[in-house]
This record gives sequence, structure tokens and C-alpha cells, in this order.
Amino acid sequence: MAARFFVSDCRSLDSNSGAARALCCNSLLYNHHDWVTFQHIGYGGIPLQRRRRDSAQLAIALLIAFQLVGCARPKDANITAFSNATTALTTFAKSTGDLNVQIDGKIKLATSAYKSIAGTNTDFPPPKSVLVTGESDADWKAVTAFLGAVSAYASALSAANNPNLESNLSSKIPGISTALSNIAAANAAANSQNSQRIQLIGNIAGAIVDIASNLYASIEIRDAMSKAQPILETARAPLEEAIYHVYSSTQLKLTKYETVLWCQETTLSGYPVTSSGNRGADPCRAFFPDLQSAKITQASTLERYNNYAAISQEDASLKLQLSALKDVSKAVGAMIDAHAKLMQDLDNQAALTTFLQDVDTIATNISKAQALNNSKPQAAGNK
Amino acid sequence: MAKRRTAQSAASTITVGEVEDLLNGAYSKLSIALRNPPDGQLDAIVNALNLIEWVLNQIIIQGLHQDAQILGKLSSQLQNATDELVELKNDLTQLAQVAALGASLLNTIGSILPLL
Repeated sequence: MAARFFVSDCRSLDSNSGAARALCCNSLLYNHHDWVTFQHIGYGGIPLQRRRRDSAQLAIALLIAFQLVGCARPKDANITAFSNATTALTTFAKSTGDLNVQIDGKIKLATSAYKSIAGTNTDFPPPKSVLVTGESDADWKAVTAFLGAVSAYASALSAANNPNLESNLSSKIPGISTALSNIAAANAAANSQNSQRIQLIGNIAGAIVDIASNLYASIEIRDAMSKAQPILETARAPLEEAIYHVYSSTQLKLTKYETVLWCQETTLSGYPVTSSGNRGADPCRAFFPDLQSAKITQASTLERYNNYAAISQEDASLKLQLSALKDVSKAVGAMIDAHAKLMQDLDNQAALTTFLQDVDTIATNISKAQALNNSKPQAAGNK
Repeated sequence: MAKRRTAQSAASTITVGEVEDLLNGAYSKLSIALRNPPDGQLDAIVNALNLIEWVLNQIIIQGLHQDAQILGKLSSQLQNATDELVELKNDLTQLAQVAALGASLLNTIGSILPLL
């Protein structure tokens, strides 16, 4: 009787009231589930769920089958958005390491070039760029492997809740409902001998309707999410820290590289800044000893202009990339929070707000950095 | 921002991330100072820059190692949840085929029931 109440209650809702309708459909599913006992049985080698009910429940199943055809599916959009944002975030997190290696390569190239200019070492190509100091490669691989596992989990979550899969099932519901209607009519006139057989058929049909209405998938998705949540919670602190460690290393490398660029504009261009209070020493030659014995000729005004424009653009691009990645660590926390809220209520669209905003901000800033990186400075004298 | 606490007293706590931020901040200020060093301070600035770089790298290497140990163990656990979802998707794909068969079966049974 409880199920009948929810069915009629659901039907009374305005069809334009999407949220209320979704909530109603959700309540219907939960309450429907309360009075159904599930058991796994083999049906053609495929696990199915069977409900036990008396003959009156067959009619209830029919009513529910009709009702569920019209249920809204906000969780499709929720889970897809969560999956996409999580995949993007894991990519951003991995690119934190890529940027670290990229800037390391620029510093190594500069110091190798200093040696070449000084004639102290002409080895080519320059040493391979490394993450942090080169001692953390295996550890970062473990971090990125976990990020990969998070991404794979999010993709599997979305795939298991694929609306196409659902619509493929839902398209079968009208056919099943019509067939159930025929059986319900036949059952009314059935004798005691065949009523048991009819009930069995009704049970199988009811199980199919349940599955088609995504009840099975919802329960299984929640089950998988509830197993993943404690893992994500345990991973929260080490994952945030690991990403922030690499961010910190990258920040230091970028600061050092800015000194490289400044030295390119001064000492390397033949216009060193000397410090009278330090015995006239050149800070660049002090900080980069490889430059100590280098003989440098002065660059032309045009060369200096072009150099200034190029390094300004490069520095701005790298700063923007690093700035974009600063919030990746914070977004990891938002992702885990969103997962927890989504697990409680798959239809809760507000659960994703902070997480999606964080990922969107990172993506926007990375796009800006890439756009800046792709645009070339206009060299003086070039028309 | 990393949340693990490295030091704790009655008055204040500081995170690993905050320590790294402080070191990076000092490195940045010294790098600016390097371009116009106070009298007699050039060598000290260069030494301080190299020292900060070494200390920060040590913190990062050790921290990353500890974090990686934990995450390495969690990867396989998360894989179990992923495997369940992959199985669920496979089940649903198969069930779509069963649903079509079920509808056909029910129609057949419904039509012959009056004859039973």
C-alpha cells in the first residue's frame, strides 16, 4: 500500500517541476526498495534480482513501471560532470610535474650554455631535465598512478551510469509494461493451477522493470562509491601534500629561472649590473659560477629589445601556468568532498558546485597561459 | 594547501605547505635582493639562496616519499571499486539484451495464457 501512495503522489506533481519530480521518483525508488526483498538468481547465465511478492504486487509493479518511464534523471548529468571534472583535475595534477621538469630543463640549458660560452664544457645536448632533483621520480610515479586510478574510477562511474545504456533499457519498458498488462488481465481470470506459473513470470518481469528503472544501477553505484569514499578520505592529505610539494619545487625553480632571464638581459647581453658595495662584483657571475670566466660581447639595441620582449612573454606564460596549478591541491579536496555529497544523494546538483568552479578556474587559467605561450612577440624592426 | 602538521605547540601550528611557502617567499625576496645586493652581502645572499634551495628540496623529497608510500597502497584499493563499476556496466549491457528477450517472452506467455 505504501507503494501505491507514492505512485499516486508522484503523478499529482506538475510535470514542469523537475526537482520535485526527481525527488519524488527518487522517493519512489527508495520506498519501493523497502518492501522488496532482493535475491540474486541466474537467468540465462546473467545475475538478476528477484522480488518476492503476492499476486497483488504484480499490479503494483505494473503501476511503477509506467511511472518510472517518466522519471527525470538529474544524476546522469551529475555523475558525468563529476567524472569529467575529475579526469580534468587529474590531468592538471600530473601537469604540475610536467611544468617542474620543463622549467628544470630551461635552467639546465642555461647553465650548460654558460659553460659552453666560457669554454669550460662543450658537452651537447645539455643534461636531462628532472623532477625536483631527480630523486623523486619513483615517488611521483606512485602519486600519478593514484591519480590515474582516481581518473579510471571516475570514468567507470560515468560508464556504469551511461544514459545511453539507460535509454537502451528504458526503451524496453513500454513493451514490458504492455506485456505485464496482458499478464495482469490473464492472471485475474487464472485458475489455481497456473497462478503459480504466472506469479513466477511476473517476478521475472518485475525484476526487469526494476533494472530498467535504474534501481539496480543506483544501488550498485552507491555501493561502489561508499567503498571508494574512505579510500579517497585516506588519500586526501597525502595527495594534497604530494601535489603541493611539486608545486613548491616548481615555484622555486621558476624564481631561479627568472634570475636566469635577468642575467640574460644584463650580463649575457654584455651589460652586467655590478655592485660597487661588493667589490664591483657581478651578481650573475656570483650566482652562476659557470659564467665567471665567460668572455661576453655586447648585444645590439635591437637584439636587446627582442630579447627583452621574448623573455617577458616567456616569464608571464610560465607564471600564469604555475598560478593556474596552485589551486590543484585545493581542488583535490573539493573533489573528495563532492564525491561524499554525491554518494549521499546522486541527484544533489549543489554537491558539485565548488568542485566544478575550482576545476573551471584552473582550466581557464591554463587556457590563458597556453594562449600567451602560443602568441609570439613582435620583434622590433619586423613589419 | 597541505594539511599535515609538522610542528605543534600550545600557541600555533604550521603545515608542511606553510613551511614550503615561507622558504619560497624567502628565496623570492633574496633573488630580488641579489640584483642589487646591500654592501658586503652578495656572498651571503648567494649562500642563503643555495641553502634554501637545498633545504626545500630535502623537505620535498622526504615529503613526497612519505606521501607516495601511502598512495601506492591506496591505488590497488581504489582499483577494486573501479572493477565493481566495470562489472556493473557489463551487467547492464547484458541486461538490456535480457530486457528485450523478457518483453518478447511476456508477450508470448500473455497471448497463450487464455489457452492454458
